[in-house]
Amino acid sequence: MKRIGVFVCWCGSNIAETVDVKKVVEVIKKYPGVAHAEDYIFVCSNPGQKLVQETIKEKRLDSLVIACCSPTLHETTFRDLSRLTGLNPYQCEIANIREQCSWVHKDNKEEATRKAIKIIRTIVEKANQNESLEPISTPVTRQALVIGGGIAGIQASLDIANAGYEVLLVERNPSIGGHMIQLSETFPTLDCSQCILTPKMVEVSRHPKIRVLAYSEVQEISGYVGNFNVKILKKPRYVIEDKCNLCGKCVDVCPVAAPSEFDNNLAARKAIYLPFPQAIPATYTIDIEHCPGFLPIACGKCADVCEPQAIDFDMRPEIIEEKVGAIVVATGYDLYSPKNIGEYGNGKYEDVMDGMQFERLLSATGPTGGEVRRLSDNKVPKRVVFVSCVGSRDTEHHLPYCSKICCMYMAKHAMLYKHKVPDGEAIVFYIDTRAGGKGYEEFVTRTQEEDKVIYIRGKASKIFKNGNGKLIVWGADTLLGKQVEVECDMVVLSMAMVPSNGAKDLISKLKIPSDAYGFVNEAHPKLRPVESISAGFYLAGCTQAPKDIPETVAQASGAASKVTDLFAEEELKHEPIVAAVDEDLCSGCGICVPLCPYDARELEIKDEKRIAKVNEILCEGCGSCISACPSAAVQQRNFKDNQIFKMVDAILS
Amino acid sequence: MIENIEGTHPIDSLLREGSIPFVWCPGCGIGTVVNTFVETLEKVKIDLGKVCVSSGIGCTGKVADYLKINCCNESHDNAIKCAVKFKLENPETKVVVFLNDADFIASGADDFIEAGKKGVELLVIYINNFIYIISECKVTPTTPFVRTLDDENLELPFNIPHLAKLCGARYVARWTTLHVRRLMYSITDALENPGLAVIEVISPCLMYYATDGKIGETIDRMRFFHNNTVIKHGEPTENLDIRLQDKIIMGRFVDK
Amino acid sequence: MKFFNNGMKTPCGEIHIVKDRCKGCGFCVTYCPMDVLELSDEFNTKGYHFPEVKNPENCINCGLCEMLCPDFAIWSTLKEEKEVIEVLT
Ligand SMILES: Cc1cc2nc3c(=O)[nH]c(=O)nc-3n(C[C@H](O)[C@H](O)[C@H](O)COP(=O)(O)OP(=O)(O)OC[C@H]3O[C@@H](n4cnc5c(N)ncnc54)[C@H](O)[C@@H]3O)c2cc1C
Ligand code: SF4
Ligand code: SF4
Ligand code: SF4
Ligand code: SF4
Ligand code: SF4
Repeated sequence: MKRIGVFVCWCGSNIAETVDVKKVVEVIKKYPGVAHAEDYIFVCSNPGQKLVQETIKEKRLDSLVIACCSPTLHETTFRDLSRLTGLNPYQCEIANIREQCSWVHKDNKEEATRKAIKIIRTIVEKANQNESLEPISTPVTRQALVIGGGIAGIQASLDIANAGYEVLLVERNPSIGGHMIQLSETFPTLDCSQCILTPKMVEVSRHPKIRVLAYSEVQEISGYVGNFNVKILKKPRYVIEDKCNLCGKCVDVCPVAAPSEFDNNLAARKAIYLPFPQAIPATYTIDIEHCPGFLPIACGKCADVCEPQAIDFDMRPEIIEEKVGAIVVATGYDLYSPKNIGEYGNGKYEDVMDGMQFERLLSATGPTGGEVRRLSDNKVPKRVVFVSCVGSRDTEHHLPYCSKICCMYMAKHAMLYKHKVPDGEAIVFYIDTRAGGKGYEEFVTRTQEEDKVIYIRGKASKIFKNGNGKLIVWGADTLLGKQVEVECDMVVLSMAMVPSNGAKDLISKLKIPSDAYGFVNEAHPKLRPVESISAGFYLAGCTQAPKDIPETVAQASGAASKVTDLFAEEELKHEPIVAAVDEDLCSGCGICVPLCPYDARELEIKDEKRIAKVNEILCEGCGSCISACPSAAVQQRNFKDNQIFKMVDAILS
Repeated sequence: MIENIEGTHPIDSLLREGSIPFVWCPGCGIGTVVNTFVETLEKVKIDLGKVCVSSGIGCTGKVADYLKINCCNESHDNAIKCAVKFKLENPETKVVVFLNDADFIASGADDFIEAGKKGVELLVIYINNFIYIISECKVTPTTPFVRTLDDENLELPFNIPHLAKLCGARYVARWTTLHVRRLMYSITDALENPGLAVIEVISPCLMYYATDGKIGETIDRMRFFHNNTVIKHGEPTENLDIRLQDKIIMGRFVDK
Repeated sequence: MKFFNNGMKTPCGEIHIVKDRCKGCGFCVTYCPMDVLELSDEFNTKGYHFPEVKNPENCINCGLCEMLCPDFAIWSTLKEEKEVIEVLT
């Protein structure tokens, strides 16, 4: 029998007010195996920890049960303490008598005390049979994979690379830059988006530790934290990156036009194109959806004029296999489509556009060179209505969440419109204005007071064209309590932000949890905001939730620092609470193999006998295989069957 | 659409008067190859006085008849012989030989091997339509599968690119008449090659009706090329056998 | 889909046909990437159906019909360069 020490924590009054700790100690002291029992006001405090340490030595304890709060909070504290005192950390157990007892039985002290005793007894039984275990260690591949080349991915890549580690940046579009490269000026300081982003893009392209794989997608992923194997599909551009000298002659001769993604379909590009002048990698791409065809090569005019012979119609997709230790997911967002909004015309009116299109209209690199004009007749609109929360905050029909940044960019749009068209009229329909951020409220006030933008509190209920072909916005002014009807030249819809399309597919490949809308979940909403609960995955930017650029950059740097933390370790430690096979009992039936969700089980031939073995690095200790094994040959370390039976006995006694 | 009269096609000036209508059947690929060849000559702006075309017999033999540039139309088997001789006497002239199976790989094979061994600078455009048409549609050394029988030829068809490489060709490619632009790129490259260059062009023939025993449209054969070819540049030439069951491999296999 | 005019231009081709040269193989009709051509119901003097232009505004002057034609019967020339303000979707 072991010599077990039990410490019952009061947790100030959290436990002691409900549980009679003195009585608990008295009863537990007599329980078989318990060599010492004691209560203390805060066992986790410094003096509390000292007390435990001294007692371990003094009473020669070889196991420890701390009856306190949940193990998610202080298990690490006391296991570290055990290690420092010379006791194997896996000999230390937590009995949760706060969340599972005192907090839920506040009005029944007697019952709570009885229950606390039972909980502690159960854990004493477990501790009694615990083995001393050592963490499983594995080497780390010090190369990070960053998925998504928006500002989030760019920042994370730079930070990781600057710390001295290799980075593989995978972007599915022909160029990195994400949505930020499309923005005109950014709130609240109105600095030009491209001017602040392009230096970072150039830095990425020149960085000796960063490899950019644009026009590529992650196809397959396997392995575990520290040792992932990824397969990346590099789509053919049909232009050899290293040969293209950006002369642009191909574009002049290309006979086919297609909508430009960079200009959000407001202008055309050719079938061979550079998404925007500062694109990285700096090379053209043939869009085979619009190029009239390669078998046979229908036109080939681009190849005829390309002096460096950069065009290769026979280029094939390439599969690149790499090993990485950590993965940053930075796939960003897309906008909810106006086609979903019936009452605003399902996207069929040319002069009703979404925020990103208006952003292109405002941009000096946009289709109009920065002049605000109508697509229908190229005239300058004299009255523009901005509508907030389109698709957002609509529990009934669309998305319940707030997209967080629309209030701000709407104010920015109205302000910039007034700067460009001083005699124009800007009207904003808003539900309420959410301007939480440094300098944000002041920015909105400036829009209203200096730039005389009219704010109408209320939702626009309908947008339509009247008999004269004029756009009409119907809405309610909830402050005045009356209906309003505004005739205008243009409407800009602040569409909700949604996870980037294709993110769902990627997330299912990565097997990381996401919320109902497809935003990737963080491990803890407050304390672990840049990690996924799946080890080795980190999140940055709008892939996690809608946010603005400063927050995106901060999160990206946070994710990067978590990656560098991981890479700084010599070896990774993995919990030893895993499945273990008793080879004498295993019949080699193989039932366990397909059941393991982590691919940790496989059959091998050993001494001419089939044995199912466990890859301890992959095993997460879920127990699926254990409950399925008909020979009871698999046991979970420190959760063995006879341990669990003893625990059940103890709680029922 | 503008309806035009004879003689107004932009490259009519390179065709001998009266050549049109060509003797070839509707949709015969030889016309397409000639068209591509002439377009390439126009495009690379080569001095036409420094080009000579030689051809032999059969349908392909007519090529030299129709072009309004230096040409020699030789008797059976002698197209290569004539071309080599011409080249040796006029080293600065680019000599192009249009060949069919007979002139190339049956009775004319020794001349080809000889030319390769000597390393004569020639461009051989070999039009492979899998059949001897004028001699009553006989099986040739390159027929991959026999008409009327849904079956392979008992003899293995010749792997032309492999043979060309072994004979010392410095440029070897294979296309079909559907791959016209790629053929054009190959002719452009081959014209610059200082050694023996061989381009095999698989061409639809109205009379070669392989699998169903019925005379079909040549457009069906073009569709076959569309669905049953794959481009693999640099593929080792020993893998280039043409069989009924496999996709025909196209590409540029040797370029040095 | 409508666009702002950013000065981009695309060519439009003019198709020329010498009807009586055509042997009706259909290469040009089948492989025109823009579906410009169709075979006429009429016969030429040799008894073949020759191609006709059914969608003249679609032709991009790529020249593929010209290259594929075994009988030098069809070719394209540049008719005009149009500013891109619309594409069909
Ligand atoms: C109209 C509008 C105006 C705005 N104005 C401002 C402003 O003034 N100030 C401000 O601070 N913020 C503004 N924002 C917010 C800003 O755009 C975002 O905060 C920022 O762009 C988020 O960056 P990101 O890298 O997370 O996402 P993104 O910019 O969306 O980048 C994600 C990248 O990942 C790529 N990707 C997606 N899926 C995959 C995949 N499966 N594989 C590989 N790559 C993938 C995408 O192609 C993209 O390049 C505005 C937003 C909108 C809609
Ligand atoms: S012509 Fe060639 S080198 Fe010039 S931009 Fe186009 S692909 Fe690049
Ligand atoms: S081949 Fe395609 S990309 Fe090149 S010029 Fe022609 S249409 Fe444009
Ligand atoms: S315990 Fe779970 S994770 Fe471990 S091997 Fe068994 S099934 Fe896999
Ligand atoms: S030029 Fe091109 S697009 Fe025009 S008809 Fe000929 S093949 Fe069709
Ligand atoms: S390719 Fe020439 S011969 Fe054939 S149908 Fe067209 S025009 Fe006539």
